[in-house]
Amino acid sequence: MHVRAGRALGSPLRLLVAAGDDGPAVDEAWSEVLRAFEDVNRAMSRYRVDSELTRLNRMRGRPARISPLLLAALTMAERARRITAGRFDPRVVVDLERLGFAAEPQAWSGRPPGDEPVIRRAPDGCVALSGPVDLGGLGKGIALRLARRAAARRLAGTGFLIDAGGDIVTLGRPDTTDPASRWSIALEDESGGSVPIATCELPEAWAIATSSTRLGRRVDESGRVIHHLLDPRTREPGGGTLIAVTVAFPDPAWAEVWTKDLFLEGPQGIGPRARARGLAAWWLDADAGLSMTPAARQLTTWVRSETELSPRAASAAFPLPSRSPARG
Amino acid sequence: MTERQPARIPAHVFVMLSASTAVYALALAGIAGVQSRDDAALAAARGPATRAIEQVAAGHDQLGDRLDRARAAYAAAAESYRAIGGALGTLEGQLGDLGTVVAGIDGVSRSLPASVRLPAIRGSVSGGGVPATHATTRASGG
Repeated sequence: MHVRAGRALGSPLRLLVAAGDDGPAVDEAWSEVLRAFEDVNRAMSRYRVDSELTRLNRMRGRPARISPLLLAALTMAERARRITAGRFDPRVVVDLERLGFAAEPQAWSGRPPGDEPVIRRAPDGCVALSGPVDLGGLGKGIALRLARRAAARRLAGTGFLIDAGGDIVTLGRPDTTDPASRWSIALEDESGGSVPIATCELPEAWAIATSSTRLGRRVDESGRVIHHLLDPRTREPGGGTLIAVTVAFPDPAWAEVWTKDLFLEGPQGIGPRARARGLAAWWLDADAGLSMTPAARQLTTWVRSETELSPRAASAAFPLPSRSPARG
Repeated sequence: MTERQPARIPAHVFVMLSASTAVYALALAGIAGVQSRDDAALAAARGPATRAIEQVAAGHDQLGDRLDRARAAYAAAAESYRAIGGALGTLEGQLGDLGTVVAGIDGVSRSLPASVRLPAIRGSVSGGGVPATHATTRASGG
């Protein structure tokens, strides 16, 4: 396994290449990955004063000409808003800044009332925002999408994985000689444990993303839990007792969207909504622990909460084949 | 007894006869010439029609050939259909048997319990230690 590592979009960034020579092709693929993330950073970062998004936000709703990349991202954000019935909405910058999740200040108003779209297009090709926009998670998903496409051109036929601080895309297999091999992913215990809550294996050309309250979570003076996963409908932290939601999906940007959509559904509604959409989703509830959909169960290879079903206990009732030595 | 002399035809009669014969011959020749020209013109005028009639006749012959071939194909198809008809009859009988079997299965399934308690098996989900993984998904701050 050949590895390249660095940082991008405020997170660690890794490229794992399955096989072949650790030579120019891997270096070129890594350069392409870095370039994809830098393109997204320049277009969509809320942490750069010179990013296109910061400049557009500071236009305060006046039309401006923007790059095709930012336009595509805003168009996708608007589509995600409609599909999720407003659970995903990038116009939460005012509330993020109000709750202390500020980057470069750029908010000028709250989310507009009603069903107003995120962007308006002028006949001359210019674009205006209906409210200040944050493309943080979605931008990272788009960067992973572009990076996978670019790396695939350099690593034709070779399996690889790109890990952007926990949001992951794969292509091909980790062992090109084994058609059954799959990229194996651990789901971190977002409640603070050191052992993963589960592991899963991704099909070829899939992605996995997690939305969690772990980063930046705090309790204010009134005892209210504050985190950055805001419900655009209430403008307050959402999700109830949910701690984290993970979704495996072919496209990394949409995996991001679904994690937000499901998280804001809360512990009561998340299961039916995820199953209705046929999503492979895992969620960790402070009260109920780990749950998952049937589609996620098919990808799951190990579950920490089932470790109690030790092979020894299981073999007492149903003898296991001797070629599978008991572990744990 | 006197011998009666044969009557003598006057010379001008011969002249008249010759002249009228010549006039007749000339008129006849003229009429023949005119008729010959008319026949040629008529033949020229009928030429296209004649060729068209020949083409229609040829087309008719081809149509007849096609009809013969279609008739032969129809006969072959009819023969095949008769052959398939027997197979369809056999299939229909087999479907009837299958229907009987399905009805039997349906009856058995109705007698089965609503749920069956299955033993835990060791599949892809391990109950042991954490498997080796390539990466970890976690909150990325996005």
